[in-house]
Amino acid sequence: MFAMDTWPRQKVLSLASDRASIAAAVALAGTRAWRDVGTDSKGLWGCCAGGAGQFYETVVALGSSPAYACSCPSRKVPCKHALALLLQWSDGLIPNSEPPHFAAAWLSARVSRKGQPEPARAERHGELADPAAAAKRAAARAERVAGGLDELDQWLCDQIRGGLAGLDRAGYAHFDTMAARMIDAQAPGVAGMLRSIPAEFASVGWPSRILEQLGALHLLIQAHRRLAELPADLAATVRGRIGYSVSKSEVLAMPGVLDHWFAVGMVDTADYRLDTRRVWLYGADSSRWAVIMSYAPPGGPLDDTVLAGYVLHARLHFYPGSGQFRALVGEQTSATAGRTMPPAESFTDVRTRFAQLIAADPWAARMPAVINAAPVPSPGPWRMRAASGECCEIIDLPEEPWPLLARSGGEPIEVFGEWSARGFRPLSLLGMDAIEPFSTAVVAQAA
Amino acid sequence: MSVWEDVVTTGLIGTDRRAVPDGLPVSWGTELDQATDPAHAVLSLAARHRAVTRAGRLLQSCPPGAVAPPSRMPVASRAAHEILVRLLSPPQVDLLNLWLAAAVRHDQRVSAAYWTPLAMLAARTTELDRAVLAKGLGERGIWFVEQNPQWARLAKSLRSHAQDEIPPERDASGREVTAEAVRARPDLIMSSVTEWSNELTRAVLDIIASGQLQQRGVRYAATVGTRLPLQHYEQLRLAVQHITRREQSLTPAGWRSVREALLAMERMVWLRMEMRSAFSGEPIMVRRLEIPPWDEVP
Repeated sequence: MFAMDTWPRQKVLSLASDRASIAAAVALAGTRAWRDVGTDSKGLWGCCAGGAGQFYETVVALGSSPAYACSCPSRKVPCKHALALLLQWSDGLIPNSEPPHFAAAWLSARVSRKGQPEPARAERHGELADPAAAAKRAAARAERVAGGLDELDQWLCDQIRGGLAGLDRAGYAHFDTMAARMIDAQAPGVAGMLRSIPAEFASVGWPSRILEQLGALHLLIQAHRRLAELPADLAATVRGRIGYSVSKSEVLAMPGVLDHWFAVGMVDTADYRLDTRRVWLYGADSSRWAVIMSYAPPGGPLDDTVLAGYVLHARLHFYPGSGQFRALVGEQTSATAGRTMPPAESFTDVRTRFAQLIAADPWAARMPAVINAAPVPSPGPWRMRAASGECCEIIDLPEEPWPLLARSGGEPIEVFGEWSARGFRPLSLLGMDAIEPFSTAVVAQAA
Repeated sequence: MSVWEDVVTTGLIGTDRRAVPDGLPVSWGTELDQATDPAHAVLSLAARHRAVTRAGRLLQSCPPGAVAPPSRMPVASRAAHEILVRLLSPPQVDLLNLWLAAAVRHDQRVSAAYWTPLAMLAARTTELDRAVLAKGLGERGIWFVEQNPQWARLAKSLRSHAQDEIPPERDASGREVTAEAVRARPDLIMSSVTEWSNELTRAVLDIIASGQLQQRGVRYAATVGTRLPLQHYEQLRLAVQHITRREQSLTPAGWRSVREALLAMERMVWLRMEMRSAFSGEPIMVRRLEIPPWDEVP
């Protein structure tokens, strides 16, 4: 998946967990704080001066999944020392040499760990150690969920009977209390839906939006009560939305799709007490979309195994349910291929596909799409305008997308992003520039 | 009032005080059972409305935005832009001016991918040369800057500088200085013509290698590095060999200063060689000089 050629600087900087790491690493790279730096085909290493005369030993394992080791006390992964080492390597400042003992020991131990067989586990490929106990647990959980949803149903009806006017003054606590009940009832998906509702009070026309959100919860409750009557796919979607967990081993046991997957775009979001990363993949042969999700506590490191721009030849295993994109990466091979850009769709085709998604999963929030449109700046929300004249709002960007306008020159270009009922969130630019045929720089990062 | 607005009004006031609207359009789906709890009826209607509006949302039309003029100059190479990325993270304004000037001299322009960071930087500091920036962006890039009201002052400045002449790399507007004069007053080198003689280069390198400038040496060497004739790069190698023979005695701190100064100068000269190669397409024909850590000096 990775060539052993040096990585471009932007790729190195994209590994950083936050801006502070970037600033610290850039300040550290190339200074005389380093000694004994070197590289071979497997890794990089160096010693960096810390405080009180001590030196931190830093090693980076290159390859399909870069790994880092550093004796510094930082909890960030990669730490500033690993990033600084990578930056120097990217700039061609690291000479080839034999690894010193600390680097050789860690790199070879890592190789040994990878070669060891998985410890025997009773639970493998969906087999359960005690099926009867598992069934009993599942039944107990279903009962707790059903009880919790009954309580939520009553609460929803109470809101409608008494009226929503004044609810905007009730504050987040009004919804948090019921969300906490849903956590107790083992329905974390429902809790998340409840917690997202108060944000709508800030918008114009909130009564309509709030009522729709409550309607969505009502639909989910009704669907759960009729779970046995639903088609298997839709039932799995309902269970997913409620928050029934599916173990990774169960997902990996399902048939996978082997393909060259191009990571077309990526977005990190910060939701209630959780940071989330979505990496969207497109299969060259299957023409299928997938998303890899990772989660971390606020400020914690998200999975950087697959980042935007990567291509991997792997088998993806999809979570069950209709309208689901989420997948796990199974076996990978070392076969390489170029990036297969997904084709652009007209706005009509995107809307049709979104309607199909809503039919399959009425609670789906977004889907991946490539559109061919021109950004149109405005003092309010920017728009993406197709040649047909149709336009959609650009949403959820932290800054105005000036780089998008720079690339397009006001003319349509191919942009990948997330399409939702509210608008389009651009994430990547595709195939326009000979210098940088693929770019995730949709918004500016201050120089 | 539309049907949905009617439903929302009921939701706001509460079904205890207002009835669920009846006579719903057929397009709203199966008629609700009148025995259904009114609260459930409103919630069901809300769920249906949500699905219909999300799945069937019509898009508006909007007029097209402004379109950029065509560009006349070719984009600089990928290699040139890799250098630009290094100079932007973090921004090194003096070197960016060098890069832009080199691009313009080779009749090449900056890729649109980098217009935004350059514009943001130029809006913050007047040290980024407006003339080379204007030419480096080209007509299309200046158009881009003009689209952002927050860059209005910058756009005006770029437009007025767009026709300026760019001075050649070899500046003959200075004066001739001798090696002896530079040895006596090192700073004189900055005002000399840039077509230095071998003797002048040797004099400058001797000054740096002697450590006489102490803390000032690094800045002096870096500035000299922006002007040293590239064909004199091999003289740097000789200067380093001079260091390794320890023909001069310096304190450890002095040695460190000298090494840092030589490193700063070498990096600057090498960067200029990389730029020349990136913009001209001609490969660099010399081996890069490595300056060993001071504790490895025998």
